[in-house]
This record gives sequence, C-alpha cells and structure tokens, in this order.
Amino acid sequence: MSAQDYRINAEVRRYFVSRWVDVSRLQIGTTNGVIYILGHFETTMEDPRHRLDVAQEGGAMERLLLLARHLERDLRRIRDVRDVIFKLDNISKRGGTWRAANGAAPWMKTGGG
Amino acid sequence: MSSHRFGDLQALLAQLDGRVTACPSYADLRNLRGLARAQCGDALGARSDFEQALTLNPNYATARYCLAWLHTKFESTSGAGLAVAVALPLPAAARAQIDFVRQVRAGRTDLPPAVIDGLPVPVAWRELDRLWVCVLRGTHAQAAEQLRRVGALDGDFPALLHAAGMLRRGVPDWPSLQAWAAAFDGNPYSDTLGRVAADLALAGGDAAGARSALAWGALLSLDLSAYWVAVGTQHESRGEERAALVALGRAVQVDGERVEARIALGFLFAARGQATDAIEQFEAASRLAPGYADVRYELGLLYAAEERFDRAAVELGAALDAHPGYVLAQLALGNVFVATGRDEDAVQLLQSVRASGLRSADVEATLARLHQRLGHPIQARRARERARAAARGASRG
Repeated sequence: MSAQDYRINAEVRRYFVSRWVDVSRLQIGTTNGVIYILGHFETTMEDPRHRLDVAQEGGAMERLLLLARHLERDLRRIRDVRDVIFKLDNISKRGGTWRAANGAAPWMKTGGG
Repeated sequence: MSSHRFGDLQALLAQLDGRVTACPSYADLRNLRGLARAQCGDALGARSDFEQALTLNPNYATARYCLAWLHTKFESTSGAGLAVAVALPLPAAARAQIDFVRQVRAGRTDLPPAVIDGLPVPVAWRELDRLWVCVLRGTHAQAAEQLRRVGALDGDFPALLHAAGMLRRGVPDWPSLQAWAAAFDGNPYSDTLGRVAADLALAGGDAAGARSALAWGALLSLDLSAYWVAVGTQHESRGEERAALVALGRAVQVDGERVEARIALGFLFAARGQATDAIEQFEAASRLAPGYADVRYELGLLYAAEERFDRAAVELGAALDAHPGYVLAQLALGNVFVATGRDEDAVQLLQSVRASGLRSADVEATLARLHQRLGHPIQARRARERARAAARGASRG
C-alpha cells in the first residue's frame, strides 16, 4: 500500500459518499492501483436523485444498476487507477453488463412511440 | 402526532418502511423505525421493532435503552404495570435515566433539582431532563432560566435554539417548547430521526429544511458533536472541503470521545493528503474503540503508506482479530508481508483472499512471484495462468 493507493482510496470513499452509497456495508480498498469493492451495494436512501417533478423510469434495482455503472466509469477515470474489482452480494457484472445477483435482466430504455 | 417539527413524520415513516422491507436484517433500521413509530403514537409497532433489533443484534445498547424507555410509556398509558424493562441488562446510568422518566410519566413533576442532579448520566442529558420537567410543569420562568443555562454550554447553541424555533428574538416560544417536550419524551436517541429527515430533505434539494431538521435533532439530545458530524458529512459530499473541515473539527472539539467524529475527520484528512493528521484521528478512535475493525484497518493502511510496516502489521492484525473475514485486511496485510520479505506468511494470506472468491489478476501475479521466490515452480505457473484468466475476464467485463 503506497501513499498513492491511499489517495486513490480516499477519493473512492468521497465518490461513494457524494452519491449516497452506504459505505458502512462495503469494504473499500486499493492496492497497487487496483480498487477493490466488496460487500452489499446500496444507497442510504431510496432514491437520492428523486425529484417530485421528475418522472423516474424503472424500479429501485434499475437505479442501483445504473448507479453502479456510473460509479465504475468514474472510478476507472481516477488518476493512477489500473483496475476496479467488484465482489458484491446483490449485484454483479457479467458480459460487460451490470445485473442483479439473481440474474434479473437490467432495465432497458424503451423507444418512444 | 403526525405534524412534527422534523417535517412530515408520516412520510419519514413510509420511507423507513420501505427501507426495512428492503433490508430486514439491518438492526439499525429497525431501531430507527421504532423511534419513528413511537413518535407517531404506535407504541406496539415500536415495541416490535425494538425487540426485532435486539433479536438481530443482542448487544445493541441503544435498542435496549429504547425498549426500556418504551415500557415506561406502556406503564403510564395502559396501567398494565409491566415489569421494568423485562430484565433487560442496562448500565446503571441508563437504568437511572429510565427510572427518572418513569417517575416523570407517573406525574412526579415535583422532582426537586437535587434528584435530577443526582442522576449518573452525562451533563447534557441532565440539562435536557431539567428543561423537560419545567415544560411539563408549565413553570415558564424556570424553563426560560434552563434555556439560558443550556445556551451557556456552547456559544453556538442559542443560534440552534433560534433555528429550531424554540427562541424567537431571545424569548422562549412555548408551543415550540411543548412540541419539543413531546418529541424528546425522555429519550435522547430521538435525535437520529432528525438526521435521517435531514438527509432526505437534502436529497430532495431542500437545504434549508435539512439544516432545520439537523438543528431540531441536535436539540433533542444536546448532542452537538453529532450535529457537526452530520453537517460536515453533508459539506464533504458536496466537495466543500474547507467547510467540512471546520464542521468536523468542531465535532471533535465539542466531544473528543465521539468515535464517529474522529473517524469522519480522519477520512477527510486522508483525502486531503494529510496522513499525519489522519493517523492522529484514527489513533484516537482506536483508543476509544479498540475492537473497531474498520478503524484498525484504516490505521494499517496509513502506516503502510508511510512505510511503517511494523505498525501496519499490528493494526491490520488487530482488524483481522476483530473481524476474521475482513478480506481487504487480509489483502493489505499480505502486501505488508510481501514488502517485509515474509513470503510464506504473505502466500497464506493471499490464498485466503483468493478463497474468499475475489478474482484479481494483481493478487495472482503477486502469488506467482512469491511462489517463484519460494521455489514452487508449479504453483507459480498455476498462479500465472489464473492471473491471465482474471485479466481476460476483466477485459471482457
């Protein structure tokens, strides 16, 4: 664990806290530039982006999967990060797609019409 | 009571219902919903939640206190004469507090100050108990004097009293004080509802409502440190580092023995690259809670980053003693052993990491190097193959 790893780890925690991810249910660590996220992934409230005047498509799991996708993208962009490894008990990434742990298909945005 | 200074208590309760449904084994949520149910007058529902919290975590001291506190409500409302706290183990101070609440509910509003001062509870609670009794008696002069005493505890407190509406232009607002007395109800843990309501308000874009809910929550317990931790966390989540530093620094200044304040400030220092300051805070937290695995883990990481590997090994070992399944502590300690030449110990730990199900090309590559150094060519080759497989899986993912 280098000073660089600790800086990355601190930045990861800040990303999670700013997006209302419940860090108390996660193990977060960085070693040799590889970020590890283990545990149960959820937010501290039902929908931190919810606004009464904005219709939200999809349910809680779809929002969680979308959040996971955005977080992974943002974490990989942190300077000096070589890889991001998730081992979560409620969601996982398979074939490039985030899914619920029970294998439920992710929310797909339907076309208009 | 559904109308409440926290905001819409029924909406808060609905949110908590959803959270408990999603996370039924989370004891904290059960306790929180129990507090909200009690505030809404649902004593039976509250009892169910507190009991379930204790079933999930028999060592949950707050839930134990809340259940004992709730029994005092049953005694005063139903007259059923339920046994005190049903033999729940409580510290002497908490039991004395419960007995005090029971006497107040039984109508003993004539309790002299000496009885209150004799309670073996923290000073802040006694001051709130004094205020509670004065408001219940309707003795406005004494209540006003008590507010002045409370305000003298901290220079920022009068501003909080104004923010919560208990003072208007320096004069006590009696309807607000009576609402406070009903909300406080002899249970200082009710302030957690204020923090939850503040989080929800902030998520909904209502910053003013969030600050008001925090102020109200702080007043319920006079727990100013918790208030400042919550404020600091909100600032940090918005990237306002300087404001977060001020708030969290204040939290530690007000109550240096509050573990969550030390931890929050430690993380903030670490994020700012101030390793020495971060270590100081985590060391303080560790002294307060030596069995707190996360604190020992973070200390281990900090020491390892400073290349103080001997201290790092001690802290990470303590984290594993407290939580043997702490995979990242195993990984961190394994890397410390690699750095200090303890190859066989490192192999053992990194194999435990792999056994946990964690697939990491980096871990396998490290194992390959270690096996090569130890003269285990077959194991080294297998580890290299696993590293390649993990890397292929990562590139496809």
